[in-house]
Amino acid sequence: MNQNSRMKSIHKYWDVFSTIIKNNFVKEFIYRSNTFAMTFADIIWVLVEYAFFDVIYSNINSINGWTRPQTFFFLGVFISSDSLFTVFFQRAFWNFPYMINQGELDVLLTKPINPVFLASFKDINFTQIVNLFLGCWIIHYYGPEAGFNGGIAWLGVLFWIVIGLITQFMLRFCFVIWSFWLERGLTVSHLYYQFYALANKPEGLYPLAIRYIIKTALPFAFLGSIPALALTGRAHLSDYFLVLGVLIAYGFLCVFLWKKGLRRYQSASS
Amino acid sequence: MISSLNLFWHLEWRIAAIRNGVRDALAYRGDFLLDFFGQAIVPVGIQLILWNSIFKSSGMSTFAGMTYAQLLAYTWTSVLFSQVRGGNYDFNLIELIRTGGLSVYMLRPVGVIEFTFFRGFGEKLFTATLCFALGAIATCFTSMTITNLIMGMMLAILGNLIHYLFGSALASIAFYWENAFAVLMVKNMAVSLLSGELIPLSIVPEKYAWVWQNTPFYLFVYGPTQVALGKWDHHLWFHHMGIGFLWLFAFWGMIKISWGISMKHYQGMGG
Repeated sequence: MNQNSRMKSIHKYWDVFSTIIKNNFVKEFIYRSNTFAMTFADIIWVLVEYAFFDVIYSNINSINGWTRPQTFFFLGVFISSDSLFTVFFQRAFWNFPYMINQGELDVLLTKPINPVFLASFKDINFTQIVNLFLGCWIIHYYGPEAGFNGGIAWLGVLFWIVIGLITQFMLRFCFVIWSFWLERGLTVSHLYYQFYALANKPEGLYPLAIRYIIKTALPFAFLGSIPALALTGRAHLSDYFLVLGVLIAYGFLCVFLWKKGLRRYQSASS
Repeated sequence: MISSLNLFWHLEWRIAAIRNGVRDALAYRGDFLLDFFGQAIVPVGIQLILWNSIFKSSGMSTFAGMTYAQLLAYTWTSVLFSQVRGGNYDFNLIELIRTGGLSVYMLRPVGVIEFTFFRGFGEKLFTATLCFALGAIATCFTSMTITNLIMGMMLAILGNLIHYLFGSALASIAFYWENAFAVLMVKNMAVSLLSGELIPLSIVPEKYAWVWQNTPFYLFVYGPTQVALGKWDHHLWFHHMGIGFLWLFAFWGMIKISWGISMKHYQGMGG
């Protein structure tokens, strides 16, 4: 592909993306009250997470080396990363099993654009954007006590939020892709969110075996724990290599499963 | 004769709705079991790990007045009731209002709120039976008695009903907002924290305790668990059942008022 056609392709994807954003924005404001209430619901979710750790740390000073400020700093990073995923991909992934089982994927497969791109950005949820700011506020508030320097280090926050977003996208994709083989893929989505509970607690809380799992097979630690350790100067060089290696492996796995799934796809009641 | 036929009809459609709900839940048996055990085992596993880490790292013998053994017992027992408390069938009501599907029910000689409850309750009844069976097995190996388990399960089922009535009252907002999904999401989040399924409510600091003490949500998981573990005696059980019935009547009245007023806004074309 030469430079010119690559630029054309980027331009085409940008056009599609901006149209999707525009359409979803209009859709959100058809049900304005619900959109505002959904924003409120998202804030409540942060409060529930916050209250959980507040109750735990009102009875103890440190758990396996994670002090109160460090844990809340972790929570801030996790909430920020999760909010971006929720904004762009969460709803689309919930609808993915229906698209496969009801044959709606056909429409996307016939379009002259990557079907995964279209399916992933199909349904954007703007309400969660507020959690990105809440998460950043928690990082800012607990950062100094947790060992986060602020200033230029905020670029590091941005980097790790993007790493968390990529990780969650690939993890969720690997769960939802089983809809090609299952009658009702929704159960696997539910199962994903059960395992997701591993992400919203610092990795130090878990025994070694689970710590190993959430850094490799189910890399939920990349959403909050590893970023929090890296941003407070507690991560090792091996952690960076691990993140890189696992994400590359997951990338290959996603492509492999998608191709296998498409071969299995039969349009209706796949 | 006519009144007995009438009674039979009232009973018949409710049983049919429950049976329909059970069948629907079991249509995909593999999915049902995966969902049931996934929802039960994974959160419990994570909680057990959390308690283990707290006690191991701190070397404390008690955490907020509870020993490690007590926390484990609470976590294992609460899972029996957290599966029963569920009930997301109030979401069906907002969908009916939003899509205009409610019109069909207006032509039928059954109430939509009751019908939706019995249909959803069919699935929960099956889950409750499964949880009860697991609990009954546990009585052979633990200090939990079958009487306490039955009493706890009764409180959990009452909690399920309260949860649904509260959700249904909130669902009437959909008549004005077209979509009240977010309102029910807020309710579910509040319930997850204040019902005691995440943490035992007894460890909540005194300054925040009034929050859960003044809502009915503790009757969904925390209350039944306390009864099953023998922490609440028969008197306390009666006391909290009484409180539960008061909440039940309050929400029933709320539904009568909110749906009575809101139905006037319904246009049959999506709220």
